[in-house]
Amino acid sequence: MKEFTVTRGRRVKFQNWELQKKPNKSILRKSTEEEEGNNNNEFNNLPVDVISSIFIRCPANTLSMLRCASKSWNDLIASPLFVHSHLEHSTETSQLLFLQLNYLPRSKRRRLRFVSVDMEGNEGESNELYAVTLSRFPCSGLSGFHVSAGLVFFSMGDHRMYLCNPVKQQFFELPKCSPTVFDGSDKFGFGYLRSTKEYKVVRIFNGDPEINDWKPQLRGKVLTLNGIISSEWKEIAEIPPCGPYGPGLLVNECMYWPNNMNSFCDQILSFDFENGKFLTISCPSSYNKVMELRMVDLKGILCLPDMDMWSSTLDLWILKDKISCIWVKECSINLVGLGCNSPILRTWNEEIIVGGWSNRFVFYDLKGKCFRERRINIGLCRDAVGFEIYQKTLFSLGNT
Amino acid sequence: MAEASSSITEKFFLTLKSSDGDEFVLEESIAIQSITIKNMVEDGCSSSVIPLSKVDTETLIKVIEYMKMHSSTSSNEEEIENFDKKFVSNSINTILNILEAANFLDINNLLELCAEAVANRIKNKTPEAVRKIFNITSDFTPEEEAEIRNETPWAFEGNLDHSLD
Repeated sequence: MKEFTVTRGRRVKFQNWELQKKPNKSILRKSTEEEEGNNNNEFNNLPVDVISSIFIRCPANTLSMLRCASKSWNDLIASPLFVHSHLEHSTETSQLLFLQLNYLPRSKRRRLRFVSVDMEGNEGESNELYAVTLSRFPCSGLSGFHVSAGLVFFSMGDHRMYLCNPVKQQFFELPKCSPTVFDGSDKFGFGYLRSTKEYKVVRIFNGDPEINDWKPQLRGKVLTLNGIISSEWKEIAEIPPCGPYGPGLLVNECMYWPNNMNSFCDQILSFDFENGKFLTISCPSSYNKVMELRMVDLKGILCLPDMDMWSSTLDLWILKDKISCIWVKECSINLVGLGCNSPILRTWNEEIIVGGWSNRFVFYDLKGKCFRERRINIGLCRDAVGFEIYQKTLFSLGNT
Repeated sequence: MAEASSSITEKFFLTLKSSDGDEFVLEESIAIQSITIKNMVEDGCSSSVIPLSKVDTETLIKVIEYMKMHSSTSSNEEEIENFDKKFVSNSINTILNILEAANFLDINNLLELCAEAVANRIKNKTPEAVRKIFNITSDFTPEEEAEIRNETPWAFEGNLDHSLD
């Protein structure tokens, strides 16, 4: 028997609910039949926001199955409002997304495959999410791809750009951006903006390819995508202060590219998707500059890994303040004995991936300061052109 | 002891009345974990009995158990953790009732706990299993359902859960 004799009560009023004679009301006395009859409405009687609060905690594969349960559930889960909240709630476990581009010699087409690998278990399971055969692709490969909030943007060597949601089997070509011919200096960025619930693509290019390319006339354009892909590329008013080099990195709604001013880079170009502004950031002065500059997203902060080959020590510098370019050395990781001189480096929740060889990945736990190793069933992602950290979304490219 | 402590810090009590007409007396400091009750107290509507017309007795008992355990003074972290674990092992219908009450009473951490619990139980479940658990009749034609499945075929591969628990 439950007792709610309230602690040290002076006005204690204890009601023994089992003795109450209210046969029609008390749930305890409901017959099994009644209970089953009631079940029917138990769930759907809940207010919509309560149902949402349950669904929002389900991963995309469960949601995909829940959509089949009933029309009202499907309407709720497929609604743009829910999809965006699900994106922002982000309990979706991170996965690795591998991109594979195969040439099919007989049909002379290319086949693009998206394979996700779950890294939670001991043996990472790979799962083919989506494969698409690209028609009439003139001898062009993938020139770059970016992943943000579940969508994949990629540009091909033939100047076409695509957006894909592998989860929803959706694949769209983006509107052309003039000048439509890309030269080597074209760089892209892609990101999701929480404030406006929009995806944005930025392109930085040489506005006048005729001019000697050591001092290009840099320009930038932005494409905003909110559901239907019908918008146009808009010129960024500001001229990029320096040129981007290498693939960019999205960190907390800003794109970052190493600058190409000299062979060992000491500056980083950033573009803020939120306010549409560029910024030049100097690298830390004591940066080794031994290897090619790489950048990492360390829990929403830009991080520069600095590898000392001689001591196999990896220093992580984080950008505390980008206006005054204040860098702080977050930690040093000793990689002796791991046999990785060229770490892969992606952040993964509280961990960073410090290495990956054929079918195993090494994670370093920043809090616990220890390594763990995960084997993955590489079968489906052999010869992948690259991989990114990825979270599934049910965002529909066809939605308004 | 009890008298001594209550004479130092004045304790206020509230009476909550379930939809079944049962009344529960509870320390105000515990009850105001519910924002709905807190607002009523602040508006001065709590002098008499607070009727909770949407919460039945069985559910209210559970909610009070939860609030007592989670009140700032009484429990340590480990106790709370064990309590929560046991709490979410209630039947799914009980959890749904508590969830509805938590929403009405505006007790955010209880809402989160229960929503998480329901979400965990439906994770990886097939549409058939989910329909049985919640006693839902599909209102899709087979063609409509197939169309939705085809939007995300990968989700129906791999380790699916057909069980009804």
